[in-house]
Amino acid sequence: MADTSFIIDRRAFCSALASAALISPARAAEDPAAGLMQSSYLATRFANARFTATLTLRGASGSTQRRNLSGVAKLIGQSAQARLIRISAPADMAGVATLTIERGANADDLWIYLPAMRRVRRLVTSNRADPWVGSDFSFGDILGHKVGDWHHEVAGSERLDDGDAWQIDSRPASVSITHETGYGRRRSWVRKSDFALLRCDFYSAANGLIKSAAFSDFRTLDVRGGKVQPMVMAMHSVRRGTTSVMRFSQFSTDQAVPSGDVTPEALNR
Amino acid sequence: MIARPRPLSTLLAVAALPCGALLAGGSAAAQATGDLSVHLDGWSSNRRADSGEGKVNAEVWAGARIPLDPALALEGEGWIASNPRGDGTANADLRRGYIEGRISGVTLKVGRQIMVWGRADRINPTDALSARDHQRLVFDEDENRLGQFAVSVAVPLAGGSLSGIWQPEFRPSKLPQGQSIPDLAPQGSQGSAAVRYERFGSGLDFALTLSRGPDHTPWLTSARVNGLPATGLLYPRMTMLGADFATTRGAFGIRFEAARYWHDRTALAGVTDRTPRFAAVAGIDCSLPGQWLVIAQAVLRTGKSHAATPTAISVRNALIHGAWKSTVTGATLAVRKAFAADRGQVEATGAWLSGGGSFAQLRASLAVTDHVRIHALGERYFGNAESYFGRLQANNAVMLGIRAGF
Repeated sequence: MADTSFIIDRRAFCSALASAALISPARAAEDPAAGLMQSSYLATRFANARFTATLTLRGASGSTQRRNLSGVAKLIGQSAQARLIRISAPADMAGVATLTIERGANADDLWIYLPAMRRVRRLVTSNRADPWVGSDFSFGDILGHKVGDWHHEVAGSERLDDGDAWQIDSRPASVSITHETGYGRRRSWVRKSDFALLRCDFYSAANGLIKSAAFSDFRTLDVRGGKVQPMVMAMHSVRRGTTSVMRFSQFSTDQAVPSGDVTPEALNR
Repeated sequence: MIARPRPLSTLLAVAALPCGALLAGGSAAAQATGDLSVHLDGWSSNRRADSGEGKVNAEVWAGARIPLDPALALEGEGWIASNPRGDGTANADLRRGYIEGRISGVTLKVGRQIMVWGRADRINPTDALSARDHQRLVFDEDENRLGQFAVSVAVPLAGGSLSGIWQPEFRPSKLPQGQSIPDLAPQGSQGSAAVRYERFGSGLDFALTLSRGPDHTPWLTSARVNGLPATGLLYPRMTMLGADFATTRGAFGIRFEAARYWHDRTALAGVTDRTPRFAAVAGIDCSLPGQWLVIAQAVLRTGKSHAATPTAISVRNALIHGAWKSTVTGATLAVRKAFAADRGQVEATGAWLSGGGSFAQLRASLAVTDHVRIHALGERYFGNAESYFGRLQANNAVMLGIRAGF
């Protein structure tokens, strides 16, 4: 493990430890990089959220496809999240909805509703490398990569346009995580001021760069909790030459999301 | 020309659906959603088992959901088609048209609805309240479902949902055969009722269902039409007790569905020597890297034998209802592959039943743009002419179609 004391200031480190609820305090104390990643994981998790967004898929040839999305998210417990996302356009995908509920150490729950079948179906979540609604984001990218599934190491520090950031390398804690996510390493740029994730590069097991994500247009939506939301999330596939951009047109956290709105029964409403 | 017109109200209702969102006033208009799609398909054969020639069918589908206030909404869906069964007859259908109210977690729906039950893939023993038109030329078999008027209420209970359903309208399933056979139980004369408890939980989804009503799949019977002997269709009452569940274990999804049936034997006297008693489907599915999905299922059906001498009609009924032996086993395998950023999908499906022949189907679809998708399908039945699948060999078909959605 690299000596990180030269780059982590005391205030940020304490804050990271305080929020590192999903990993044990002992591990956070021994592993400051894990504490930082946990803080980053929690930085965009709101107690309640409602959003609408446009997902634009740009092919290598320059062709574009658009998907209009809306959704709700709700925290269950300290950090586990339930998230329902519904596609409203294009027409042949309209009504398709997915619900993910994180289950901590257990396998997450994932359901999908396909209007043509008029049925809610439970899906396996272990294959998180598959594209999410045909985009360059994988299911794993959208579900979020659990901090405890990876070993983390602070690799350095770098100034980006949106602020000073720690560079943190994350490697799978087990071979199964590599198989499930398709990643052999992730390098994350975590902003020092608020733990927002500014950028993330994804590498294969052979350490080849697969994809690169960039996050921008941050809005501070929970000042007390220090939580921020990037209104633009872009994922570029280096190998395929394609790019997917998720642009939130609306993201509100001030209204409670009823528990019944993040249940499988809500998928076909 | 519409040779056998639907009631004018059906045609008007379907035509009005795409306008519904626009016609809704005030805040409802702002939240109303609607969709419209146009299908144009060419088929090498129909699904009427009469060796029909290739057919072209054009359809317009429309759907709308109009919130009237936060707790009340109207929803509808219907189609108009130039040649939906490949017999040269135009038709239209309002599949769904109901009003939905929600208050304190209780959901009430009144109007034409489609009840879809079961967690297995394509073979659903518990799907007893739903009717299908098996003669419809559809790419996706869920499009051949028929809506029926029902009153349904769902109440939250013990972390799940308890539903009560009263379905006074009866629309029978259409068998994949061409000749016109008179109904001995006219539509609307028999209703169904059901109770269902369903729960989606951490790691496990399940449902228990009890229904009582006419068997939507017809039974052949001897009849007299204009004083002459003929074959008629009968819909005896049936009780179904079913259960289904789905869970995941690592990389695998596990599904199970089973149902026990009790038929009204009095109504079936003389037309059958065996009735379905139990059906179960156990399946496992696995997602593989590269957007592959494999679904394998085992099928078991048992029949209850009655002391009766087999007749030509009882043998055909046994085939139609999957009870040609006291125990029928089988298997299905489906392999799906998505590609081109989910814009395309190919699916190969095979089914085999002991003593019943087999069936293979290949389907493919590709979204050319965000609004246009092309489809292709090929299906083939195998087995002798007196077997479950083999008798449908005249329905072997290939299809090519295009859909535009707005």
